[in-house]
Amino acid sequence: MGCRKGFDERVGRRTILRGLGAVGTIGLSGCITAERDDRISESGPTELIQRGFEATGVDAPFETTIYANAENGERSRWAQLVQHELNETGLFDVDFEQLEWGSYEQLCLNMADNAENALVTLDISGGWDPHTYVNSLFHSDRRSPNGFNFNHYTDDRTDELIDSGLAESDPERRADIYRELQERLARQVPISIVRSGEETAIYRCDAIDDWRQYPLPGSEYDAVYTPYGREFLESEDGAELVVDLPATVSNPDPVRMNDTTSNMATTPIYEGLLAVDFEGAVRPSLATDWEQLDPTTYRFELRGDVAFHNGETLTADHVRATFERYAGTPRETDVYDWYEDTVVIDETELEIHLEREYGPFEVSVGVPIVPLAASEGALDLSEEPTGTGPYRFDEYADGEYWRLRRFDGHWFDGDESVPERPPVETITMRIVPDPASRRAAIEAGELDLATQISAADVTDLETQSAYCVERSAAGAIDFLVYPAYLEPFTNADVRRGIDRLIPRETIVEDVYAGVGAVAYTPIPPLLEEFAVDSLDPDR
Amino acid sequence: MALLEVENLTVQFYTEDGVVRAVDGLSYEIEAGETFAIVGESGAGKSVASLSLLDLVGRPGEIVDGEVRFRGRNVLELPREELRRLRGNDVAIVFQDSQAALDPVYTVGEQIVETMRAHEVASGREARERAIALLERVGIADAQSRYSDYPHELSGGIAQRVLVAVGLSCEPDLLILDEPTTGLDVTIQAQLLELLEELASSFETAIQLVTHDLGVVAECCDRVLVMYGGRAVERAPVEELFYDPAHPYTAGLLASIPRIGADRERLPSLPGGPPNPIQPPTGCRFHPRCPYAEEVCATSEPDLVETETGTAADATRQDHVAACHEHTGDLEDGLGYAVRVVDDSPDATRGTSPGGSSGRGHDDR
Amino acid sequence: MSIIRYTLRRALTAVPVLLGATAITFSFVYLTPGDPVDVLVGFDHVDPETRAALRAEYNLDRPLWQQYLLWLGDVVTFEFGESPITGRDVGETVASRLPHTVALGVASWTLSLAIGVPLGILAAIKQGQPADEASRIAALVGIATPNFWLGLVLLFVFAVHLGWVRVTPPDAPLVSLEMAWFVILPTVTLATALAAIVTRLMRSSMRRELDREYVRAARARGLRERTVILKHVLRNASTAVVTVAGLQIAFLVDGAVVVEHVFSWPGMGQLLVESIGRRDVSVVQASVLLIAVATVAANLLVDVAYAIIDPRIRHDR
Ligand code: SF4
Repeated sequence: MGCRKGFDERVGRRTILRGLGAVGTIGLSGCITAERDDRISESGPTELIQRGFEATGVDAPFETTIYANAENGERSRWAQLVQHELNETGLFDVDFEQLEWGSYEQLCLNMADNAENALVTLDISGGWDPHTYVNSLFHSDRRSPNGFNFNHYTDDRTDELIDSGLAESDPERRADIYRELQERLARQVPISIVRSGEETAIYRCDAIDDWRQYPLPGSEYDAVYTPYGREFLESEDGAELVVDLPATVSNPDPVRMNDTTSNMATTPIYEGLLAVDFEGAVRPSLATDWEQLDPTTYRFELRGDVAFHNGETLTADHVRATFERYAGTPRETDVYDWYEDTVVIDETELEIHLEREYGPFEVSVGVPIVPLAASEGALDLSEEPTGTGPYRFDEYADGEYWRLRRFDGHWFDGDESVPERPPVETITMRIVPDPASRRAAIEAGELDLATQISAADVTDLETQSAYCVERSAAGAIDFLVYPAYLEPFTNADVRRGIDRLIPRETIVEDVYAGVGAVAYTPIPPLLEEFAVDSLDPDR
Repeated sequence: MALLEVENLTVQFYTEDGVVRAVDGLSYEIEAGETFAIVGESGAGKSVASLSLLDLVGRPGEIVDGEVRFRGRNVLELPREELRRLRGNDVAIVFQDSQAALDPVYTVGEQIVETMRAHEVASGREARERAIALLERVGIADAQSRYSDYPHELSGGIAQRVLVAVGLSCEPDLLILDEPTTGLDVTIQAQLLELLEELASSFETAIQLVTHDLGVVAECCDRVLVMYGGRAVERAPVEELFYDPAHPYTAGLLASIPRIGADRERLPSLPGGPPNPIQPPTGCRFHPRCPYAEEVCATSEPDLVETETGTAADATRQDHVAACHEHTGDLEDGLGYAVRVVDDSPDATRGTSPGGSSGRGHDDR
Repeated sequence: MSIIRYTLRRALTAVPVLLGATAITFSFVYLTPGDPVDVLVGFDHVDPETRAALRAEYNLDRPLWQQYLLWLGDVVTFEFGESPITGRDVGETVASRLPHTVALGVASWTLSLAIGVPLGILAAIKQGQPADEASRIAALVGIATPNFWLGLVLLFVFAVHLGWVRVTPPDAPLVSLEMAWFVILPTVTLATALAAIVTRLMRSSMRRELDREYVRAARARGLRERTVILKHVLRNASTAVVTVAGLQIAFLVDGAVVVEHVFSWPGMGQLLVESIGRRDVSVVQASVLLIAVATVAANLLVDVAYAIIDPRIRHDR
């Protein structure tokens, strides 16, 4: 049950661990082929494993257990496929076990501390920057529960590469760093990447003309009207759009937000200085122009005449107050990972000083700019989210729906691709926690659009002319975690051998009905500049 | 026409072990106002026979043959509503376990009033007053407050009286009392019996008293029917039965009663136990326990005959009948017991005890 | 002893039980693995100072017994404060969900009794006959049908294909015709298994009572069969059903989690599941406490109902 479970992020900045994988689509990405690591070793997978067993003094068959959480049927199935492959070699005696998400999450987060003899299957979704994928999974500072480095993999060179990738702001040099990092990871195989996912939306063709699916979870409903992304939903003026939310909105205040749903509910309300469009390109939003003065200084030119929903007018002070509001809050790292201070030059001009050179700055700087009233404590954004976006918060019936209304004072004047004001006047987000009920609701015409419907239901509805499906390669990867702290998994040959036994094609084709793509490396193909198509281990 | 005529009543029970004939071809009559006793060991079929009078034998039992005529109409064939009107109104039963026979969740008064209302005898305030009067009538002190007591608040004796009051509430023509004195102590027993006698005469109610206790029978009955293994073995006016028991089983029962007023501990006098109900003994059912049994007893079943003439008994006649080969002359050695009458108290309470005069005579101790 | 005195006495004995329940609730939630602050910060690598400040903000830095006493103070004053996760008032959050669960629970409870009791009586008096067999099969199917599956089937048949009702709750007040109409399907879903249990229980306790001597005695008194069954047997048999009807509250909470999920019903079940998922300790504690109170209250009601039905109980002790 449930939608996405786990904890997450503002799009583009955080890594999310997910209980129930989002449903993906057709493979867009080429990716690396199975032969890639032939030169790593001339031997086959069983020989690799045997060699590892000898080196660690472990006798075959080695008994272990592979886990999945019960809520995620697809994950359970691919875990069982892996179990089957391993048992076929005769070198392992693998059990399969399902746990409820709550216990499963605890198992994963504490597996290294408890030295669990367990292989776990998971997926994460990240943002527009490669750092979000590699940092949380592989950096030694992010050993669970301070991150998702579940098996406490520790490798100095890996840490170094991750750190330098973060600290490098030159795109080309960054691409090189991440290539080297991924090659290193492919040799060491602390975890095996199995598949990259997709995001899907299904909608009623009579209610919605054409939907554009944002690749990252959380910003789905930006597509209703987004000047920065050059997208908007055509409809009669004053129309109501009814869409789904997979769970209740836990907290709409950006500094306390800790789930995707809150993000989905609030993206049309808030705007930041910059935004990342549907293709991953950074675009101006509340800033009209920006430039990097030196590695740790950026100058921003603000848009004039931007009104907040509460009547305030945007100034450089708002930007500074917004950043500084993050100090000491649960979402502190969103900003204080890089932020030093803001120098206000005048009403519409400011300089942001970073405490260090920061690669993902441009995709990180776009946090929601909020009114001064919120920074001063006069306005509680948990109760009344207020920003500068094209929609303002209207009402929330806890557990039932979340409603936004067009904000008539929005700054955008229209251009050739997006009109001056959004045709859709009201966005009602109905909270429908059950995927099957979401399907029922869209069939009954109570939803115009639904996200995260099961792969089978999507395939089924797709054949009916009344429904349209929109897909996008997503920033999500499925992976298998080895208990690398435990013999024989301490041995890289063993992990490599297993990695080569994983039936990735079968998993994508059979388990995920062709949705998504086989993957070997942690940075998904969505991030074109950083994903690797092929690996050359000799480099 | 007698008030009640029972003819060839046969009741079977279907148990897991087999079919049990609890009552086998029972016939008798009760006249209006008469006090009639049915005596036997437990399991002899007397309670089942009583229930049959109101067609109250429930599953797994079934009345398979016979008629029960009350004022000439067959109770077993009455339409439901008429049967209901007969029950409690014309014929009432006082059950053996008085606590169990009262619904635990209603007060005593409610249950009496309810009965009267069901037969439109009285309702409302009148019913309440009559109920309290009845409770007084059956000798319950403080009837007013007992009226609102719940069954579990009553002692056994009081509960038994309440049950009698319930039974009498619609002034029935026939009151069936099933072991009314079981479990009561001697004084209360005596009081109750006295009460019954008195009530029977003042209400002009016929009574069928079902008991295993011949002592009780001696107290207050006109005629007695002795049952053994579902059959009638002897039927006689009470005096005759006591002075001249015609069946060895009756004689055995008589031997086992201590005199009233003496130590009431039951004394085993009949060897062996009741017959196996599923496979009753062949011939005379009493033969395995009978001290006078001969070969014929095990092979041929004695008919119920007049002890004087040896001719087949007729339920309509009030004479002395018994089912023993002795009375048809088929017994070679005869029955070797005698009755000694002891009259040792000023009010001439009858006591009977056998005297072992014959060489084969049984020992009652 | 009068019913009122009996009730008061039972209510007094419930106080220590409730106190125990608060302690268990409190420690249970705290013993559950997972640090709320980890969740709050999204398992991020945060500044230790910030972490400590967050702990202090929600008293997580104090010893457990202090936290418990502080919380007990909140409970007694009905001031649960703000949830660290949602920033909304915990009391208000629970209060906004409670009526939905109560409405669904009461409706299902009533429906299950309305179906189960007569069906059980019918089966008992028609023992071995087709009506009994039919009710037995119906009850078996009812018990065996998973709520989740039944809910979805009803949803697809009546909401999607026939279009008689909505899939999601209408934008209407809880007490309104539209809402009443909507709540039919979840009620039926939740009531099915309950009704099946009640039917079987009613049947067996009726059968047991029917064999009692007072039933034969009542018939011997010439009471109408209807009176015998409905006035005497039913009242005696109902104690067992009252017990179960009272214990069903726990069953209802359990079933509500699933049914509320399928029917997008904003009740306590959903709140509990969400809050556990978010480690929203304050909301989980308040909800669990509320369920505990409801269970204790239901037990009290059961006992009182028992005493009303059966005088032996209130005369005891
Ligand atoms: S028939 Fe025979 S066995 Fe039966 S009572 Fe008479 S003597 Fe005894």
